[in-house]
Amino acid sequence: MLVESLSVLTDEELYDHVKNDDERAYTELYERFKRPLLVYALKKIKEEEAAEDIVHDVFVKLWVNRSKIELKGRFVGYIFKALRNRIIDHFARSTYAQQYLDSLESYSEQMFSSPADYKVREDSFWENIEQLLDKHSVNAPTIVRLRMDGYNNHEIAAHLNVSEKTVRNKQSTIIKYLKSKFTQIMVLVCLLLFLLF
Amino acid sequence: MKIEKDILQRYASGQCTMEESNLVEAWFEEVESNASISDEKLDAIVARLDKKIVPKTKKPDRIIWTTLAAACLCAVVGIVMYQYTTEPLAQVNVIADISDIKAPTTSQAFLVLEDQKAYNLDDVKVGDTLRASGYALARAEDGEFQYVDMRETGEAPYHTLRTKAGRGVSIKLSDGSSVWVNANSEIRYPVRFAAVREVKLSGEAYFEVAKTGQGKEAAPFLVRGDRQTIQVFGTKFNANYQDNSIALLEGKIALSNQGSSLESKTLVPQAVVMQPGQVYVGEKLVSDPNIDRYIDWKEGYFDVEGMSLGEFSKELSNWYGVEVEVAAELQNKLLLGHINRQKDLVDVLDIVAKVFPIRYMLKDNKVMITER
Repeated sequence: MLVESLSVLTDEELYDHVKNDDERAYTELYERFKRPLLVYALKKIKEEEAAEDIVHDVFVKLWVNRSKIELKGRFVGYIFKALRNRIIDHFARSTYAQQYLDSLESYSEQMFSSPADYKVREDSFWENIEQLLDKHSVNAPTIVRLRMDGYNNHEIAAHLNVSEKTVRNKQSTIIKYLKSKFTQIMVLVCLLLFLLF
Repeated sequence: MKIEKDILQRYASGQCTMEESNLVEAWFEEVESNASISDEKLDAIVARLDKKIVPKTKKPDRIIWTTLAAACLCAVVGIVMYQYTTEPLAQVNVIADISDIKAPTTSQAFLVLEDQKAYNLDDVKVGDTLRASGYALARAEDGEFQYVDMRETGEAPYHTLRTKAGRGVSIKLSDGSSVWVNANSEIRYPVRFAAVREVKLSGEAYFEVAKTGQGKEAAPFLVRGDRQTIQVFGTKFNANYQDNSIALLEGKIALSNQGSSLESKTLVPQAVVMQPGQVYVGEKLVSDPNIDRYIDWKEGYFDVEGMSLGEFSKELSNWYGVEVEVAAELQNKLLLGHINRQKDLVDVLDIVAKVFPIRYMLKDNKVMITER
């Protein structure tokens, strides 16, 4: 008799089953992502219980809203963005809300926001996720798969890919970023010198 | 930019402007809790989370009424069957000893049907058939899979053949073309081709494409990929889309460094036309007198003639399903000869050790090759 195999399915194929009320597919997705999501949440939130509750909430909502959620890209992108949203919501309600706001304000004063910064920020988001998946996934073969066929999605494309060209492009983005930072610093230094003398 | 007090609330409910969202997300990347967490602690949290999330099946109360017990027996058998047929969740294989790393004995090939259900093709033995709606998949004497089309008209569904680290698998498509799919690869195709013959490939496969129609009637065969597209008529070639290396054994193919998707109507410009005996690698076309070495994987040996140790380690990883790392100073050492794929990894490494002073060991579930 042939046995159905869930572990070889992609996250997106599993999510299709979840949409058809398949609990086993849901459990498989949970197993794949519980650790990476928890580690990510703990990197952002000090209180362990809050982090745990938030990850719990993300997974519960995934099931409850399964008929409404349509994936636009890869599942990994959806779930981590849902988590980010939920963590920011937690910040807004937390007893440290004012501190978070202050931190955001001082960050905004340093930042000269430009489209290039936006790109770098997206890069950094995906890079962090990639590291987490590499390290904490229970299903290492899935990650190999992700590396192999995940590149058609533009969001992660550049970041999970290992082709030389992509690496080159990425390096140049970082260099551009550093250059733009450098000019900002130079302007500040000049201003400072101007004011001092 | 002025920061409104409710910016975080508005972000969470999706009511920020684009500019605000960008700022919040950029700032969020910088936020660090500075809480370091031990693996034990993480395991404890995961265990708590598991209890909350995974629905646990309750143990049934003891049955007192025998009549009910009999009725329930069927149900219990059903549940037990269900548990046995439910595959356990994949776990990372922890390798205890390096000598345990054997050549794969199974194909590790899975077929994903149109309803997204996946089946292990290793369970389909020679002479068996796998029945899907309107189609059956049979395994021939030589191990090759072939479809039996019971409908012959109407729209044909797409199936996906996906392999993990293992021996790979071969399949005959509806036009008579054969495809050998290497480990860690994937091919998607319609169960019956329409006017255009097309498949989508990631990873590596060897094709023997049947020629259909003559002259202007000849039907093209497209091998689409995310970063490459090949158009052929009737040929034998090996396409490694992962490393972007294409080897042509017979016939003629046109190649483009542009990806394309199934059923796309736009024509892909075919930049390179290849002749037999040529290899397209590193975005260059070169002649290789030993063209067969590109299909060594299908023939059961490693052809390491002129291959660097660094490249060879990638092949070993792919075949044995374990990460193999080579020290930087050994990366470019060139190898010679053929090695049987059936050998254990240790035996293969011992052969290499006869030529180069290398040492190998297992560390963190990885095989490390260093200088002796």
